[in-house]
Amino acid sequence: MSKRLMQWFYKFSWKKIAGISLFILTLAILPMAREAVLNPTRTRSEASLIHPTPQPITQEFETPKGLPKIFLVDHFFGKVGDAVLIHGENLGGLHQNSSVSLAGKKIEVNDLVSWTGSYIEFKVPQGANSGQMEINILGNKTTWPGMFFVTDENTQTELRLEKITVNEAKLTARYLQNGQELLLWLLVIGGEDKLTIAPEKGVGLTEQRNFKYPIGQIYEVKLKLDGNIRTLSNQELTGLLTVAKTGEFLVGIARGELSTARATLIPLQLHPLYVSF
Amino acid sequence: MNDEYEVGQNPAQPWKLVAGIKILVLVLVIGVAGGLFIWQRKTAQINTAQSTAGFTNLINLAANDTILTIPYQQTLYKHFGNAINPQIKIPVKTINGFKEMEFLIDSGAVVSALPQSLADELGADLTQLPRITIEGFAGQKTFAYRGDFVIKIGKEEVAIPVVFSENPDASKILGRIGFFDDFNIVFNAKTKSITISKKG
Repeated sequence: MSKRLMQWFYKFSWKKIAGISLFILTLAILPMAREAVLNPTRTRSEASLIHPTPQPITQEFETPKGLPKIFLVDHFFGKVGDAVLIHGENLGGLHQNSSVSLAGKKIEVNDLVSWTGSYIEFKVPQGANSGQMEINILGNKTTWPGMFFVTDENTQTELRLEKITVNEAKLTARYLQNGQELLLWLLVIGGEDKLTIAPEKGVGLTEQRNFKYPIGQIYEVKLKLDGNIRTLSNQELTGLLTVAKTGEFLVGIARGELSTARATLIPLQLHPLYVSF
Repeated sequence: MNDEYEVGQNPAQPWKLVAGIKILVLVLVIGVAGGLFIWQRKTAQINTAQSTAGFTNLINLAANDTILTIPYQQTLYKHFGNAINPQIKIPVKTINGFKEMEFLIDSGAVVSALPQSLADELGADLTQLPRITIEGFAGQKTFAYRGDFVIKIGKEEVAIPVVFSENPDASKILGRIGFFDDFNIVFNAKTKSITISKKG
């Protein structure tokens, strides 16, 4: 830098430097100030983000008008942490004298999500075991007849209900293992029309009955599985039955129990649970 | 006046140092002002929809890395007449590469949602995903599986939390978590477009 320029700067007073600096900074800040003025007012409290409040258990206490009933445990299987809905009536609401138990173990409040007069939602607790669901509403107990399966990465047995034509869905299975008999509840939602159940070769339909629940119509079927079906199911998805309908409605599997010759149950899961066709 | 003499001959005045400090101060002030100006311009660019309705402009903006602008889609409702349909087509990562899918932008939805039937195509194993319940418009509970999916906004790939709904009639929705959290979504009535830009 030339000596003259240095000298010029030396003689340039600090007052002038301060003035020029102020002017330059003002020029730079003006557009920011304009932006800040034009910005909409912040209406959200940051405090709520810093300290989020935990979601409370949803509840609408409805005084029971009769004995509690369980219509359905939906889904009838789940991993630890999965949501489960117990549909019923006269369930009251969250109360210190009411409880839900799985395999004899009470579901703690931390694992409860909702509790109303018609349904209870909970999350499968850590360390839960497969077993029956029981509710105790103000001292009145009732148990769902089906079995709830706690599944994990070792659960191999799987059922699938998939739409194959406009009016038909097919139930397939894999890893039936030593399962001899399969009990199923086919739930029909949103229609009164008839459902026709046709077993595949190697599957015997030993029993069928229907009954109505407020949430839909249940077709209970018992299937006898022969050795070939069991062997084949260990290699690929194997057809068990075809479900045909006459109207427009939703069909799902609401309960499934695969029993061995020694009457023990094999845990199973289902994807997808409902099919619309 | 002899400047050189006056300055140079006074040993008590380290004049070169003083001149240097003055220059440094001015350079610093200019630097700070310049930085503020550039930062302000950048912020304004991100937060402002720049489109002037021309479709070419919209395409140009769409090609930008950080901004995606989509023209309004309108539906003529029997009961309400003409209304904006905040639907956008964006590429979604599937097991066979990216595929365009149409989503409804829904600030009322906590999380993005997809029908369960798309899970296989997106490479999601529902048996491994946590199962939750979600509530629909009338408080009706539906089961869903919580996972993630990848979408492309402009040229950027973004992983967004999603639930795969068991409801076979579920719509494809872009909700708040991961989308409204991380992007500015501007409904610009003047340009009749939706602008998505990265959070500043």
